[in-house]
Amino acid sequence: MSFVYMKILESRPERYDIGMGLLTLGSLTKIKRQIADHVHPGDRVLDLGCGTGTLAQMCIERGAQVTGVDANSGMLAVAKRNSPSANFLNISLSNLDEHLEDESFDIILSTLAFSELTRAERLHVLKQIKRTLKKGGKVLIGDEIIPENLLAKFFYYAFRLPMRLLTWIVTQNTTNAISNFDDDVRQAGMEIVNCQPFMLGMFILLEIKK
Amino acid sequence: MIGWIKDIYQTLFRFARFPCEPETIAIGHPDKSSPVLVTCNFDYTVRHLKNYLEKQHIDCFLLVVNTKGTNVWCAAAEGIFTTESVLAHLKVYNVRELVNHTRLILPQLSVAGVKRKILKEHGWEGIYGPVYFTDLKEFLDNGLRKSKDMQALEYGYWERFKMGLSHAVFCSLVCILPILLFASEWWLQALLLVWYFAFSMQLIEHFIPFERLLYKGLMLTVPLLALMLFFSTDPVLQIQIAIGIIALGAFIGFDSQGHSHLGQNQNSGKLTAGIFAFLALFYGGSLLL
Repeated sequence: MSFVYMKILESRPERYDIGMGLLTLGSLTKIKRQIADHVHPGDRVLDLGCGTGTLAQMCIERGAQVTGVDANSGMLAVAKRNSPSANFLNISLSNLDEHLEDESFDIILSTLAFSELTRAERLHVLKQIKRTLKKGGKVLIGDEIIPENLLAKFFYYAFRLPMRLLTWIVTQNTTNAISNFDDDVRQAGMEIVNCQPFMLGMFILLEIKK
Repeated sequence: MIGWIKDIYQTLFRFARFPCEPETIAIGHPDKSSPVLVTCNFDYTVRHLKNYLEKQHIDCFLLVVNTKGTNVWCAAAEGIFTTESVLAHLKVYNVRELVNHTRLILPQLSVAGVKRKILKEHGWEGIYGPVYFTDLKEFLDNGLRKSKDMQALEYGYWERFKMGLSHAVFCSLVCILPILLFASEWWLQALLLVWYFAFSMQLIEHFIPFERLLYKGLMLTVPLLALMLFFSTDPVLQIQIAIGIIALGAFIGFDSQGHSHLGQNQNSGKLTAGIFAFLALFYGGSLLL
């Protein structure tokens, strides 16, 4: 791999939020705000795939105790600057069982993390979410899907593909739409209680309960 | 046929990532005692490794660990192919259920990222296999013992050629804009220079007496500068061509750190920036002449 190209990759975390803002035309920020509105003072919150820690900080500002998890140490270095009072774990989402206790969180959050996982990884993580979520707690997942409506699907392919290319140029990262997610949630023993679409249904915010 | 096409573009654009689906593949008819091999989800490697294992009739489980499409050596050096990622794969794909042993055969070149000690703490025995997967059959038949030949990393001319090709494509993409901006009439000659430097930095670099790749790049400018002085008589043109040649030699020499077996982080960044600042000053001066 080219040395210059590697340096571009290494500096990616600083540009990650700009790239993702571009990719979602601001929808990601809206989704994060809506997620943060569910948080109450004293809540124990787990942010899966916390990235640069922007959502973690929103939750801390609402009085929550936040644990952020991300496998990317570069992202976590930025997250620690953005949200110094959160607790961050540099681990893979697949290794939650070794680091987090049963029924220890009131709210478990995730934005654009599930779309980076394979289906087998998704199922594994959802089972871990069920294990670590307190009774009566909720899961909030904001992610990308391919819309079902034909017109929306057309816009998805016409608009999202060039945007994905642009975002890849800026961040060398992009997202992949998740599919069959309701099946995965059911298989993990939970249920989706609310689904809110964003950007013509290209992004969704799911509220899931045990 | 599709495999050949994939091989060509994955060689040309080797600087990019080519992921395939992370999974656990049963090769042949493996049973509980079959070996468990580990690799990355770099499509090129997985296709060729799978093909080799099938042709050699090696019944085994192949764990294709998610490194986002980066090859074993780079992924281990970059911290993407790690003990953590291997442990995550073992857990997600329930590998413990597949076999009645705990041995994992790891690629030798994963040594920078995958640590046997940590695997052992989690109940797995990591064994580094041969450098080249084409030695796997012999390695398995010899009771997981490696000969000296299996441990040696050869950086032969064919590998150097492929690396040079990829680096030439990358450098052409990076340099094309400055070339069109500063030397549009000479674009073909400039691109030929890019390919000269990129290939020379792979094919004859070991004959040039410097450790630092930046210096090797600069040394490669010497015959070109001599030729230029021989054929050109216009002093302004001589200065501008010399600036172009030195700039390309410095850039491609410096950038070769990512393409070379000689390693990265040679701390040549400031020196390269200094050379470029010096060349820019000279270029500005030549415009006044």
